[in-house]
Amino acid sequence: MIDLAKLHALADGELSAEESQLVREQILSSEESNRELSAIYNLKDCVRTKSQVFTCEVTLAASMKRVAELDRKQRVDNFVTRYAWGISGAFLVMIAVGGVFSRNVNANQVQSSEIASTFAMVPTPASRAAAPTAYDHWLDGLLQHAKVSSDPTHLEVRGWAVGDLEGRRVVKVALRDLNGDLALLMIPGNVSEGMGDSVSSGSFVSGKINGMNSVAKNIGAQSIILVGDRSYDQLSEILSRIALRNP
Amino acid sequence: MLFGRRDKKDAFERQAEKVFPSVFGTALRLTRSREDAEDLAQEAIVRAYDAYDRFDGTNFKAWMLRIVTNLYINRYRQRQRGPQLGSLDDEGMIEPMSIESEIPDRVLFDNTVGAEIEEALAKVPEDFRMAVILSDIEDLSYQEIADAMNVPIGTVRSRIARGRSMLRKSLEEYAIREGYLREGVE
Repeated sequence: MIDLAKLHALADGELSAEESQLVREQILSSEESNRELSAIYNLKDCVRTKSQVFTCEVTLAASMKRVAELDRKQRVDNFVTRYAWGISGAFLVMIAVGGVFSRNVNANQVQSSEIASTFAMVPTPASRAAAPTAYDHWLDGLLQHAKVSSDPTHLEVRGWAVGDLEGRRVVKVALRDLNGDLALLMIPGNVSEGMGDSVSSGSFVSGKINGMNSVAKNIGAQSIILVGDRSYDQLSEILSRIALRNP
Repeated sequence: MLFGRRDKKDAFERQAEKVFPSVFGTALRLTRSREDAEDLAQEAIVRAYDAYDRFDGTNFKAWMLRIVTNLYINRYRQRQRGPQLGSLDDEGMIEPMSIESEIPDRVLFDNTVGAEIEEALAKVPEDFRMAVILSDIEDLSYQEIADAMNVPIGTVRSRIARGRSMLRKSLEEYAIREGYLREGVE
C-alpha cells in the first residue's frame, strides 16, 4: 500500500502536481490504496457536513465590549503619546505666564496667608539680654521710640529676628508692655489689601493673623503689623506711637 | 487618525463576527468545557484586536484560529493536561481506516449524527484532535495548521492521518455500542 500520510495529503489537496500524479498512478494498481483513499474522503465529508456549528451570542457580545474598551484605551494612549510634549509644554507656558503675571500685578502686596506663614518662618526673637550688636543699634535707630520704650511702663523691645519672605527681608520684633507681649512685624510692601476679613479705619487696617487681633499700617514702602491679645483699638493706639525713622 | 482607528475597529468587528462560530467551536472542541471555551474565545478576540495591526490581511480565519490554538496550548492545556490527554508519539504508525474495518463507510456515516461526531472527536488525543479539527472542520491548509500548532508540516501530515484513523475507530465503537450498526450491516 502507498504511504498512508501521502494518501491523506492527496485527499487534502496538499501534494504538488507531480506528486499527485505519481500517487494517483500507484492507486490504480492498488485496490487497498484505492479503498483507503475512498475511506478518507468519506470520513472528511462526514466530519465537514455533520459536525455541529457552535456559537454563543453572549460571548460574542462580551468580546466586542472588551474590544471597545481596548480601543478606547488605545486611543487615549495614542493621543497622550503623540501630544505629550505639547501638553507638557502648554502647562509649562501657563505656569510661567501665571508666575510673571502674579509677580507684576501683586509685587507690592503681601497676602494674608503669607503674613501668617511669616510668623512661623521667622525664628523666635533673640533675647535682648545678650550684648547689643550692630543690628540692635540699627533696629533701635529704626524704631523712633525704642529708647523711650525701655521704660517698662510703656513699651519694651525684648528681642528681634529676621526672616525672608519671597526674597523680602522681614523683621519680627518682640515687644512687651504692662499688659503683656506683642509682636511687631515689618514687611516691605503694602499689606493693606492682604489681610483677610480686614476692616479699614483711618490709616489702619485691622484683621486676624493666626487667630490673633492685628493692626497694620503703611509707612513709606514698609508695612508694620502689630499682633497681640488686645482689642483693635488698643493695638491701634500702640501702633500709632510707633514710627520708623527711615521708612 | 481617530477616523482611521474607528475604521480599524469596524473592520475588525465585521471580520470577527463572521469567523466567531469557528473561533468558539474550535475553543469548545479543544477545551471540552463551555466555560473555558467562552474564556478562550473572548481572550482570543481581544488578543487579535490588540495585534490587528500586524495581521497580514490574507486569511483572517486562519489567523484567528492560530491565536486560539496558541492561547490554548500556552494557557489551557497546561492546566487541563490529564493522564489521557498527553500527545501520543508523532512518529507512531499510521493505521489504515478501511482494511480492518468490518463496517462499510456508507452504513457508518449515514447513521452518524453531529453529536456523535463531536463525542468521537473528543476522545481523540488533543494534538491529533487539534490537527483534524483545523483540517477537516475549519478547512485550514497544512501550512496554516503547522503555523497554528507551531510544529513542522511533516508532523501535521502524520497527525492528521493518525487523528482521522483514531476518529474513525471511535465512531465505529460508538456505533456498535449504540447498536444501529449491526442493523446497517445486516
